[in-house]
Amino acid sequence: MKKLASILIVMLASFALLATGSSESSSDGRVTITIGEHVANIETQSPHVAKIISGFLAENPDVDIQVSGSEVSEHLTKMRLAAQNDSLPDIIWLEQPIAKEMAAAGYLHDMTDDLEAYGINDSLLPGLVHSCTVDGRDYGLPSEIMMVGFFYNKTMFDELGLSEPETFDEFISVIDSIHAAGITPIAIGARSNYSVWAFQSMLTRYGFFEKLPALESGELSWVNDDFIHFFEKVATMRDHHAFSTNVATQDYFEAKEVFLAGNAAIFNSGAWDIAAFEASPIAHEMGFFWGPTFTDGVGDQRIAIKTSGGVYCISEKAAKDPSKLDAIMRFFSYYYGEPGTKIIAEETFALPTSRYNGQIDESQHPVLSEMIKKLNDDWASTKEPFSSLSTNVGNTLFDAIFGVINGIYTPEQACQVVEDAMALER
Amino acid sequence: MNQLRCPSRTKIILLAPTMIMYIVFLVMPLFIAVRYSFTDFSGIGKAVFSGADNYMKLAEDRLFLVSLKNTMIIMGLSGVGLLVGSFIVALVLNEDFPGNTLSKAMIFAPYVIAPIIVGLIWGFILNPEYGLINSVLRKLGLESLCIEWIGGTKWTPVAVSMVFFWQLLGFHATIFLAGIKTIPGDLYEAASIDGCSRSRSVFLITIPLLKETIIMNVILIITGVFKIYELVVQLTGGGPNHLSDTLVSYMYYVVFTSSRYGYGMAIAVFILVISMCVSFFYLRISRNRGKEAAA
Amino acid sequence: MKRRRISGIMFGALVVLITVLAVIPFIWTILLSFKDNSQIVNDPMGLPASFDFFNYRKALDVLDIGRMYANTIMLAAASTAAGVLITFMSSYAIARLSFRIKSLPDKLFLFLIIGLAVPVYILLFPIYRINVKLHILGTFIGLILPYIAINISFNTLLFVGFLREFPLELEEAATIDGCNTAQTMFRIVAPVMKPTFVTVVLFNAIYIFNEFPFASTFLSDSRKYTLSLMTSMFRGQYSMDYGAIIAASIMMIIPELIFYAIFQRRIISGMTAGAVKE
Repeated sequence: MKKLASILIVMLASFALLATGSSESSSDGRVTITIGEHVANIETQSPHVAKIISGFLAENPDVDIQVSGSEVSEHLTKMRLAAQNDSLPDIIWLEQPIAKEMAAAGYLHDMTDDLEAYGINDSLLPGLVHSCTVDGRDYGLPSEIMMVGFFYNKTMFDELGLSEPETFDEFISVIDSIHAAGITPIAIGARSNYSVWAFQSMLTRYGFFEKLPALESGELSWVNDDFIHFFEKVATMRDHHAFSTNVATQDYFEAKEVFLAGNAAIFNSGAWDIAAFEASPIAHEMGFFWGPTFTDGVGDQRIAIKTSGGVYCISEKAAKDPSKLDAIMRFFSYYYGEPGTKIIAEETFALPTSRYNGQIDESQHPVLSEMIKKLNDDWASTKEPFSSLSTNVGNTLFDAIFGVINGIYTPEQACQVVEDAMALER
Repeated sequence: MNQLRCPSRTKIILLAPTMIMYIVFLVMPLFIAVRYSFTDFSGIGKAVFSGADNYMKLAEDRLFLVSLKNTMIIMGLSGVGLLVGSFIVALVLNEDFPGNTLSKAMIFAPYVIAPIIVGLIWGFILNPEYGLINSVLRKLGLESLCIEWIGGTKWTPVAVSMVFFWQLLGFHATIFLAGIKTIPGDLYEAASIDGCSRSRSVFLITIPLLKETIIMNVILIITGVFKIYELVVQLTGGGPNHLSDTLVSYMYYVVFTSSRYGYGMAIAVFILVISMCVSFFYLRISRNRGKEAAA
Repeated sequence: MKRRRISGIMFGALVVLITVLAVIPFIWTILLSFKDNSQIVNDPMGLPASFDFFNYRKALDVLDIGRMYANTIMLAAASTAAGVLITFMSSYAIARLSFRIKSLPDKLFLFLIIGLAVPVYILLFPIYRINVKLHILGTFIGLILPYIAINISFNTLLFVGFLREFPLELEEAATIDGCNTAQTMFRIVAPVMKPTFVTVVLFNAIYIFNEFPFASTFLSDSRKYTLSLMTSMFRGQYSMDYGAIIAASIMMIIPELIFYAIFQRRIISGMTAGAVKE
């Protein structure tokens, strides 16, 4: 009896403690902006955002900013639930397919006119203006540059007498030589089904964006010669032992460690990992190429994904309050204007999404300067297919590509799988 | 069986708190989920009623059928294994020996290890290339026994069963142990005086008196297998290409990765119904058998 | 005598075998916690170069671990205490009291264990909505109430099951002595049921300690975060800090195992104290 009584007391005490929950205080004239981020720990995982926020707050004493963040998949689940219950944060980081679905459902603010009014479009990189649009209206600002391709280990290439490949035939012969030397050619992990960025670029070289309207309307099936050719190239790579033998059980993070430890020659990744690459032992031996061009491709072959990744959106509810909307746009002006851009490039050494005129020390930041060079080279920029598809079709496309890499699907089956997913939505 | 009388006011006071909590936070949410299983809801925007469409699709969804098959394989392998294994472990741990508490804690440890670590460690153990098991087999010259434990299309459910067994052994053994502790010690004394060996007294005393505990564990194993999720996600991610998905891991993919909430809820309702039917069916036959034995 | 010794040795071997099989992955985890990410992935079998606690330091640096412990323990204590109390009451009614409709207790029992078959992920969305409606989203109450509900089925299964294994005589005697239902329940039955209580409390608390889906979905204020959310702190969109995750998890597991070991012993002491005679 005594024990039960003490349990009861503990319970009641806990409840009493909990009942005194937090209450939001709003003093006069001050605006509080809430931001929903896609990392759990802003300071270590998105240092540029943390620095930009503190810089902005120092200059704008009338504004408060509250950031809450979760790991990306948890974050997206939360935001879906929040949208449905009208409790979205004011500024929300979203992947593009979800941003577009939310915009279409009326949860997000149409910021087209505000972007003009605050001159934000002028400071963005030319390829990143209008990066997330629905019916020609802007709903998102780029949070990062999606610039994807193959990183490679220059020392290994030199030792084997290889040079950066451009055509698919060159690519395959490079793979053959690496495999013959007993090294894993491409480190890749199927458990992160999204880690097929360079393969998405390859798909754009088979006319993906030209075909998209017809695919959407149903005039064209995914099972068409060009897409089959694309998947056949993936199958050819597989047959030439291009991929890690444990591709099926590995994820992106493991593949990255394998590449950085010098146990694989090539790694499919993007600009977001520049900092990790520069911190690795092979920072000074890293090259980058956009991925192969194809003789049976469609349209311009020298095209590469140089686009926006996830985007920052404004919730429709927040935009109804003019003073809050003004504070948000001032924050974005700071983020994408000179001060924010400088912080990103010079303090966190990442690729800014806005125009940057400073100089990067090449010896200190070899990978970053290499990426800036490639960003400004003569390859035309294109978008990411995933961002133009629904979440379901996009994920099915990932699965289809890995299905061929894993040897589960034939090229025709891979096309059919995506076609079936897309047919659900027509 | 129930024979204590008391005023209905007392009964209401005893039952009400549980019923209210259960209905508000479990039954009501369940109804909401069931309602969505009849819509094409994507998780964002409006839900449009689509009749039994989602349920019709189940029968044609190849990946769903694969995940159902995998779940059944795991049920067959780890279900029986866990029941027998955890009972034996409980009998062993019931004895007094030095290091007993440490043993118990270590056997229980897998149950509380974070799923992400389970995936990582067992990935290293089961990896077909450089994993511990296959390395040992190769060293022993048993190359032919090397199996593509994970990552292949065939053996993954077996690997999942193994890890599931490892993870839940301590959990079910603890429940058995609690049951064994309720058996009065003098029953065994009397048996040993009558010349009954210890192994025989297990069959004559322990098992018959543990009827309810066995029922509990079986129900927990059945419903537990139908809920396997994190283990699969961390071990194989459902791969290659969803061929090692279980029902819940496939449902999770459909709901949260593909944004097909309505369809995912149809899968969830299916899981719920089948798991409930199997459990209730088992309860019914075990209770009936009990009645016959008593008669 | 000789046979006894042989069986004793065999018994010892069995214990060692079971424990070692269970413990290898655990020891391995501890070894991994002293390696950096590259070694973890590229040389998982090798011994760490040195026993440097850098992963632990990093984890402690990033995490507000004291607050996380406090939050988690408070949540676990509150939901377990409330949950165990109310489910013991309802299970007692189901297992012992007579109802006018003879089959009612059995139906209630079946109704209350349906929850075992429910995968928690399907509850996320509806409970989120209910929490918004009740204005408890993001608060601890908004977690405690679902935690209580989610454990009801498990508790009912165990309480009713074990109550059915206990003899009725004690209670009948108590009733004849003039005890009312509450007195019988808490003074006579509860002490005798101590092993069951310990088991139920143990599993409820551990479940809530490790619970991830609800905590990760319903909490958004990092000051309210629980221990199970700490791995997310080392998982970025494109980065994964295995070393820190492993170190953080070990810091989470050790107290749980101590808690388990202590409670486990109580199962035995409970039996010697409460005299159950058939």
